[in-house]
Amino acid sequence: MKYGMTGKILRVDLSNQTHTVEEPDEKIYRTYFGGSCLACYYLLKERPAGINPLDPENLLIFASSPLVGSGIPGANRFSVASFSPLTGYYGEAEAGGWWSPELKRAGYDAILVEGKAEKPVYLWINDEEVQICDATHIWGKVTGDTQAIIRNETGESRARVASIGPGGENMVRYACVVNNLRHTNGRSGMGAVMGSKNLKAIAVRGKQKISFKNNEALKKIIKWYTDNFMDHPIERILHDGGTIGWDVTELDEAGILPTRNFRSGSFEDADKICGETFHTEYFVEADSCHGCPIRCKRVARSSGEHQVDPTYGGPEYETAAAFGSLCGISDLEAICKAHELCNRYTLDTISAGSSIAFAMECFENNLLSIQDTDGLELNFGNHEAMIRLIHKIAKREGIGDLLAEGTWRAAQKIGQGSEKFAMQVKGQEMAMHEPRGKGSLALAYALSSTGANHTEGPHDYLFQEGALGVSDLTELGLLEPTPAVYLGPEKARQFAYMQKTWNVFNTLGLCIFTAGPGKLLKMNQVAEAIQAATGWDTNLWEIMKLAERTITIKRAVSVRQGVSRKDDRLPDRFFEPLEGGLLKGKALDRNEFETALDMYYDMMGWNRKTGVPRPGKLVELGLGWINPILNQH
Amino acid sequence: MSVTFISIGSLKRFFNNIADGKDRLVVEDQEGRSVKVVCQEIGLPVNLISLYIVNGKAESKDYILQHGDEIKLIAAMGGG
Repeated sequence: MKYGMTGKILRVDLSNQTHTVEEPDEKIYRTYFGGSCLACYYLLKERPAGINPLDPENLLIFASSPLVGSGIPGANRFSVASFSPLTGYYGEAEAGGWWSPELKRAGYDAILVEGKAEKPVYLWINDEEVQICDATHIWGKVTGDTQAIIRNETGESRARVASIGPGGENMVRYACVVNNLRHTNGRSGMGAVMGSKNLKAIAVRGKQKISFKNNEALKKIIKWYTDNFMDHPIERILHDGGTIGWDVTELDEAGILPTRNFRSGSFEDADKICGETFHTEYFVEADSCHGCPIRCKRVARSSGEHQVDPTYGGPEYETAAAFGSLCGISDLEAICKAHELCNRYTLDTISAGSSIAFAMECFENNLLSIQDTDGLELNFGNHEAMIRLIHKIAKREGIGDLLAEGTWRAAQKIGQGSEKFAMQVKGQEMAMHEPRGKGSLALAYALSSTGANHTEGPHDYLFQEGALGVSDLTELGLLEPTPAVYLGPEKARQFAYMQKTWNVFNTLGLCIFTAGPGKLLKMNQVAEAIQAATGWDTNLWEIMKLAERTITIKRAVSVRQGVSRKDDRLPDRFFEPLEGGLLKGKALDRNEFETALDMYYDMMGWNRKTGVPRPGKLVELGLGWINPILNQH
Repeated sequence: MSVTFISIGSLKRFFNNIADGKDRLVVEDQEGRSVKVVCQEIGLPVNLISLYIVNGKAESKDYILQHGDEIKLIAAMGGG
């Protein structure tokens, strides 16, 4: 008997309106586990090189994991993965909530979606039974209406609905997928892939029991976590203030708050968009994901000018900074509204905010005229223009059609040197963290197979001398802290280790806020939890190898789509001095950066010149079958 | 002869316990001692502090306090 997993993977062919159920060998689960690693296995096995992400032949995967539903705090997530319409390379995004455990209770570990429906449809999965339902009447509706209609039609008020709104339907290249209206698979444009397939939603409901091998061992870990999380300073901060309380003002004082499209690290109105102001003015309640006591999600409401609807939750830190300091905007109510609109329309708030900041900088440098912007005065700080732009992007109206393409493609069309204002890597926009103040983040942004990604590994300040995370590194064999603002070989080593922890979480369906270095649940305890869930005689060694396999197989997917070392870069702006804040004048050093890349490739067994994983490394990770796919022997 | 600690962001909750809910805490007679040691003694979680900003400039944990110093403490900043 298999424990932890249902043992079943659902394959849906939208072109032929059929579905089949597959039961992979347990070795497949133990090798690729779930989430993003399992998704990459299918992308490489089943699809050729050169896939156009918006073509029907693209494969879209929703993958849970054997740990999900176990009750381990944070083990409630799933990956949506595919080829990304934003980058053309590997794309993935993770979300929490209740959708992932519900999928397992409905009988499936993952869903593979192929082809394209002739007309809009949604999937309804109810205790293993699968229906492909007409969604013509829902097409064009926002997520709130979509969820309400589907719940009404299925008669299941507790159906968990992951859906797209007009942003996904119109194939905005950074459209996201939203479940339960508040939980978002944000990055890489996975919502656009759903739209390209005429797939409006996947609704799931399940009442089956998931079998775990050692429930007593799981309960023991859960109880220990519940008893101790309030005494852990970081978990307590997340519990008390969410990510928005972790905090804009601190980043501002430290000089690493992305401001006006990353020109500065300090925003003069940081206190107006910070966690304290949010909790005073707009906070309604804290919200949670399945089985998590942290309750870091925030819900916002306003009956002021912008009428913010609490149904859609509230802004995370990323959203507050993307629509706030990055755009020079100090109106927190408008930022809360921007969050709500993005969840309604299904837009990634990071890429949407970054695209607007890009347009503002183009406008202020006369690369976009008032005619180009449909009459909008796109100066930094104009929150009304920002709100108007979100509507336009989702509907691809006027200037919105250009910005729906993302900053890299928009810059190609605008020309005139606007590329230098496009803050992106591999086509994906930077998140709201400043790499000139965090050495490992510079590597994370440059090296992620998905393009600029801030969740590639834990950030630097937790691991400098005397900081809280340093003692957590010893179980991995890292005994020396490194300064945050530093990019020498030791930082490359620290990043290579840290990257494994957060990457494996995307395979395990585990949240980066409950576990790993700097959080309460340690990596050895994660291994214990997997052992208890699956019954496998596993340990930290195997989990770290799974982590390395995850990073490497993602790289292989992107390499086959054309990624090489030349794409592991950062925007020129980061090699130029910050214009303001505590780190004013600080710039990354190109030689130091390139040397750190060399070190990283060596550590990972990747070719220094090409950035391609070496044949022996692939064999060592049990991925030898990828060598012929990459034309290696 | 005094130095002033100013609370910011997520560290404010720790100030609430030691400064009667105020954002500023004036500490007397600490000149000549390191900023980290003083933080420890007044009950702040020093393993959570990633930056000591003294009079607008980043200083090390071993910075020796001087009369009139204004110290802002920044918590370890993560991501996500």
